[in-house]
Amino acid sequence: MDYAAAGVSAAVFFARPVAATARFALIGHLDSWEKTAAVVQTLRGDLGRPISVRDVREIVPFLPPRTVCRVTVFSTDGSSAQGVYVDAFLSPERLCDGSVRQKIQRIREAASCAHREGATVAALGGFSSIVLEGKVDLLPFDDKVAFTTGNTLTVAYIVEGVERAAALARRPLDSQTVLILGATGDVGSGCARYLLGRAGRLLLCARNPHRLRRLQRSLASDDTRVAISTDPDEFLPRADVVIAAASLSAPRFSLRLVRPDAIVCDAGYPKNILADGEGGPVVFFGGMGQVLGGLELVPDLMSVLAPHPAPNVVQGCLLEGMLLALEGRSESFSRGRGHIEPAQVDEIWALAEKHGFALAPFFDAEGPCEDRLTALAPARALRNAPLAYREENPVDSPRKPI
Amino acid sequence: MEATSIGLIEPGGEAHRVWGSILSQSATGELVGMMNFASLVDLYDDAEDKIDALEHAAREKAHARSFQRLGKEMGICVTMNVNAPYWKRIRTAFVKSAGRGDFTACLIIQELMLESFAVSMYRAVARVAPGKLGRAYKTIAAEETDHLEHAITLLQEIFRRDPVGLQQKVAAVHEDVMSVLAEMVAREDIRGDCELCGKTCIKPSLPQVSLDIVELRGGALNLYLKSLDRVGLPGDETLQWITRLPV
Repeated sequence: MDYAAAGVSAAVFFARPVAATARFALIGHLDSWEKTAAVVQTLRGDLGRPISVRDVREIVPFLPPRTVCRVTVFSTDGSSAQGVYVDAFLSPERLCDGSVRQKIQRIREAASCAHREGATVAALGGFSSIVLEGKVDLLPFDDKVAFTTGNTLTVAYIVEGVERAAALARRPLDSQTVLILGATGDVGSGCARYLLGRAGRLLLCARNPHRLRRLQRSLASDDTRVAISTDPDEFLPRADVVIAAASLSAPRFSLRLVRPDAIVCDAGYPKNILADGEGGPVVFFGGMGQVLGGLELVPDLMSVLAPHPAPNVVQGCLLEGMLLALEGRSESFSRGRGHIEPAQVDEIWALAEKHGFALAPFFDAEGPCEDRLTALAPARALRNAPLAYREENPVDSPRKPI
Repeated sequence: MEATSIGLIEPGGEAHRVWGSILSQSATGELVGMMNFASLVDLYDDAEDKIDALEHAAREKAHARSFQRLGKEMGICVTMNVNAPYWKRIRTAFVKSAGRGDFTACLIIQELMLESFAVSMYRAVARVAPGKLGRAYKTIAAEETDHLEHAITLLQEIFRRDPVGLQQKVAAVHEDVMSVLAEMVAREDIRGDCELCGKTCIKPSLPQVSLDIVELRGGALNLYLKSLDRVGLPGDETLQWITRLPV
């Protein structure tokens, strides 16, 4: 804490202009203490001894939710919008257990921060929407700030990612059996509705059998096209494509039962899929987009908040808030649970394309993984019919609305 | 009966030593508060303000005396040492600001920073302290809350007039004072003997009286940050200040 030794006058060091008015707020939380420690260390700079994970575990849970950094998002159409990232400081290991009331209180405090910052639209990332079950009207200032769960854009990125991954592997999606883990959640059910007419067969898995049956009925499909189970092990060996979208505080699903040539989209935040070692199916992190126009964070926390192999990659739920701000739409585009319809997915996807919020490049914990998806393509298909197949199944074709 | 409940704490035991240290820290802090408010008397031009400052000083003195009396009932000799290293640094920072005639800085140190810590910690102690001791801490916490609220109201007004100026001032004072308070409540002793605990630091023994230094520090930082939020200071700035504190 020796500012003098650092040759810095504290008054000068700390004297930055007071915040300008924000247009959007991104309410979120970090999914690991290691990431939290990295953020704190970045803010701390070189002063004092390095911060440890133990330090942040002991201090951060006591911090009231607050703005962590200021964000400017640039559209490819030349426009931009300003906002803030507000962290609710939810403890990563207590996302699923622990007091729901306390977590809701933290989200409410974060919502108050969004209002104080002058946001007109606020996206609820990760568990900040899950603990509310999408009931954004529980938040203070709901009449002044439009809160969106951001789940519609997350769904759009997931289904787009799955379609492109299947195309890279030269497998038409309508021939594939798609398993959705966490199928009754807002994101999972949105994916199920969207993929109903596109995937060959849907396997829906979730913990609550009543919700599962209700979802199956709502899809108005016969059992041959939509099967349900509360046991993931029953469905994992049968899936060509797995979408993991369950609300978990830590990875839980093992891929040992999954076929090695399957494609797995881990769209959880925190991640759903356990690292089972080498040789398993190709896993990519889904539900994320890349802002082609660029993002600017002050202080620059991009590399610690979003430590991805490609630049400007952010969760779809947060990007939805930025997108609505760029459009000047202060509305709760996504709210509640289980209401995401294909038409809304197409609408938000069209906006994403308009502003250059592209699907994030394929990557996993190790780095880019597009080549492994391409390697899944049958050798014969590649050798015998690459041109015809490319014409019929273009990898980069825009998704057609239903 | 009430005196008996606190008298039941076994003399010579570790819990007894812990309560002794808690009372000594509390009494010394109140004494420093008394001196700080007394210093403000010269800073004020208005006679009513001078009287108010003196009354505040008298209340802090009464708090210190209460802690001393409670210690006596428990068979504890409460130490009041304003030259104990941490408290001396805090007092020096206050005197420096008072010497410059900087009323706002003095207000920030005494009524925002010190009172945030006092209110949070007294409330925590009040929840676990037996009988009369617990009630005394609860009452004093409520009175210190009034001081904190008073400071927030004044600082909100100052912030409305000059947001950048106040932000710079709080930042500078934070560096001087909050780093000392953070060292005081760090998990381990950063600077060595605080000269109020006796031979060894009592922090590891706080669980003997159902307290925990991590919880105490967390609660104090929480109230401090919420107070800064209410004044109107931007949360991202105050977060940076907190992350730079000693741990």
